[in-house]
Amino acid sequence: MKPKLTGLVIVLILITVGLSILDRALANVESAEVHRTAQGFYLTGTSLLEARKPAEAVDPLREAHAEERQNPAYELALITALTRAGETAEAQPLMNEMIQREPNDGNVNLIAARLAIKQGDTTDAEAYYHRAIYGEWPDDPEQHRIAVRMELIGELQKLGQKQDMLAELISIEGEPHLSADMLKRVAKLFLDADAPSRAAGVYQEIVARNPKDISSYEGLGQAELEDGQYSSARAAFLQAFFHNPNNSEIRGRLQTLNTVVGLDPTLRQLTSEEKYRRSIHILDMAREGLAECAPTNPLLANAAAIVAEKPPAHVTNEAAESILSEAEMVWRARNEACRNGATQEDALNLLMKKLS
Amino acid sequence: MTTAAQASRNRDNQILIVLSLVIGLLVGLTVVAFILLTGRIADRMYPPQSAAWRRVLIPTAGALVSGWLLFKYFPNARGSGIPQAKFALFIRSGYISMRTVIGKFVCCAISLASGIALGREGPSVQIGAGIASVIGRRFGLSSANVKALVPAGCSAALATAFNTPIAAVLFSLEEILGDLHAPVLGSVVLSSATAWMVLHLLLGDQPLFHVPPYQLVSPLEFLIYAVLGVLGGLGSVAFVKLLLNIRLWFRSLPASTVWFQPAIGGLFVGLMGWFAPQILGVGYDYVDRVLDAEIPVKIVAMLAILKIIATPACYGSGNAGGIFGPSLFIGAMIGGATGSVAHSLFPAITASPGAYALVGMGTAFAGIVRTPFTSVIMIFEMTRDYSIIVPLMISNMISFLISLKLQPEPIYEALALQEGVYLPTAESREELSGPSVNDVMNGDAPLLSPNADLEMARGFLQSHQANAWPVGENNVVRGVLTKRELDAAPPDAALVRDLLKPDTYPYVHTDHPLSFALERMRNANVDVLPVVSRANIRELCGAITQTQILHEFGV
Repeated sequence: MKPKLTGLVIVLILITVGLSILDRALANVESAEVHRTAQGFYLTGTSLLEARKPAEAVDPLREAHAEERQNPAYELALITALTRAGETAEAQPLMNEMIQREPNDGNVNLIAARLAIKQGDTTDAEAYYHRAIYGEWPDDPEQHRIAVRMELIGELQKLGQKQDMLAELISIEGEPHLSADMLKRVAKLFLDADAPSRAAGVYQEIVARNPKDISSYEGLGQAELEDGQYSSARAAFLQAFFHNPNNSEIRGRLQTLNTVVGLDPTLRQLTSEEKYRRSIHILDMAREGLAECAPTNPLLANAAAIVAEKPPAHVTNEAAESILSEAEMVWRARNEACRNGATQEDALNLLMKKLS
Repeated sequence: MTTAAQASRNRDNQILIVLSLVIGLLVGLTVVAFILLTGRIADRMYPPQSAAWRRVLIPTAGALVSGWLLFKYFPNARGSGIPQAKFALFIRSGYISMRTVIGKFVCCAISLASGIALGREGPSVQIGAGIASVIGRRFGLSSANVKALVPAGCSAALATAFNTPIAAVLFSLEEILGDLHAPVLGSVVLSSATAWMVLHLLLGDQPLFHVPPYQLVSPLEFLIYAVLGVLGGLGSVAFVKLLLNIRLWFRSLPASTVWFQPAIGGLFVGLMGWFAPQILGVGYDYVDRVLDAEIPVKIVAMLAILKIIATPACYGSGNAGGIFGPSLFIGAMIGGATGSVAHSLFPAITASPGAYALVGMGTAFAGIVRTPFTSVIMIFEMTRDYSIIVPLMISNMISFLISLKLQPEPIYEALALQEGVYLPTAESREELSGPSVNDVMNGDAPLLSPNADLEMARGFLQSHQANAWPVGENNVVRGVLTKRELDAAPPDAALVRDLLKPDTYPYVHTDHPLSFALERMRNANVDVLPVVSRANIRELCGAITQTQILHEFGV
């Protein structure tokens, strides 16, 4: 190679190296500056979002997203702001693109679910929630999955879809390492989903972990009550009462349950006489209740006559059953006549609920 | 061909291939530096939430500084860069000086960073062409080989600036060379690919625009795309005519004002930027937002109109910068506005306005730059979505045809003409292969003096056995005198100059093929033609006679 050509090649190599260094330095400067600017906009936007000002958060988040489009956090924050601000038409294409790009990302699917909820598309929303639950979460995936499932349960609760809600609750119940607070929420939701026995099971787990948790005893009592397990309910309320004897609500419930348990004619070990006696008492309670609201009701005379009758020498279970049937008729008449008067959880209602 | 000649040709080809890679690498690195540097300076000029006065002062000051530099040190770095690259290729045997490359880099970085409403792609093309030219010359290549490298530099620059390597290759062939079958295809592709790789290594896989997924909702949308083609075509024509007229007006001003003319454009665009900051600079951020349908339709429509005014004002006043970027901006705004209106009227059958903005970009590009093929491929490369091709072709072709009808002269040819440069047309370029005028002309042909009397002129024609002859003095052509004109001379005509029609005379350029010269002789009914420079049709290069041509053909 001629010396001149060698020199030329060396110069070209030097120029290439110099330009590469310059370009790299400029690219780094640009990247840092763009990131700084975008971060500033992002922080402003997210603080406005936290302050429940989604409409005001849209512009700064849009700027952040425009500056650094490859940052999914900015894009998700923008979609969230747009969704909360009701600008779902603008959020949708961004969301579609994100879902296409990150189909397995848990957070992306969660935001998509929220957008679908906002648009009233519950079927899609449920699908996105499930994809979020089973999707990828970079940190603490277990907690994220639980939180997403809880959010889904909340949405199902709002929609009144109790069966779906129950299915999700059963799934979440099986999660290991649920905190006591989370268990309490789950138990409460079981109650809302008309599954008191499952709720009672969860409350039992909580009180087993922390026997001094009064609110859980209350919850357990309530669950057992709704499940018709009045003895267990009374036992639970009794525990709550021991820990907090000044709570009038607990005391009131305990009194009601004492009455219920004292009059429950369905217990197996009862003699026929005792069952008969309890049936008469129940009929008398129903009669008194009806007399308060409808003193002229024709059922009252017959009920009063039965109550006033002397018990036969040989009492049978059939006699007791007949009185209970009469009591049920009077109770129904009372509920008809005293629509606003009787509470759901008075002793008579609880007894009748169990009988019917 | 002899073995030695074949070996020499193979060696030349090998050198060209190696140099194409080197050019791709260097041009890629230089254009990345140019783009990043311009962007960083611009960000410092206009920090977020900066005061409105900056938008008036900075473009004016930037244009003043770059205008003075252009006037004083870099006169060849003015303007877009595409016509200049073509001048170099067709007129100066591929010569672009290093000074011009540096000047283009510095002046454009200043003017674009200061907010002048021009683009960076045209200048990048001239920088790329210049680097190719300098490298070719430094390696001692022949002028033919240097010329062959210039399109490689252009395509490398465009591939880097637009992140569209295929469109860059096509642009070099379609616009710069005017020949899609050019033999330099290999080096053009190599340099484009190399530059694109450099871009990706340095900046990653970031597209120039964030393009939303394209969607054709209904076949009825084709009608709306046709309307977009019409609007894009009309917008393109308005843009080109305005730019040419403003440039012509500035050129008519005294030469002493040239150094501060750019500042007038800077001040004008600055005043516009006071009210509408979106029109300052290249404006790709706003194109991105229109693609995402984030800007209201009224603002989008207003920006289209303002940019159609602002860019011609900046370019016409002599600022350094290109029109590629602005044409994409204008197209995106026209498309975005059309799409918004269509979507509000027919929401069920139309895609989002972003899809129309995307097609609109190609539409304006096809109308202004007049490269419909490149425009389709460029947008296709940006979207990587095949379904966009048909709507794009419909609106592009409509826009192209409207532009062709209402403004027959393409913008770069028209700008070259204003400079007094006659670039070969697409038709003549097709014929440039084969023996040329340069091969047979007489470079020492004398001119007939305009002050000669008619008798002397008759004797001159007779002695040269010709029925016409170029007239002029000191190598400056004034016209062509024919024997017919001599015979029909009015009685009061005493001298040759009394018979001349200085504005219309037949001529050929050195690169014209002999067949073209023959055709021109036949049309003008003369057997001699002056051969003139493309840079100045008054400058005589020689003369060519019918006899010489026929002899070359062996007749």
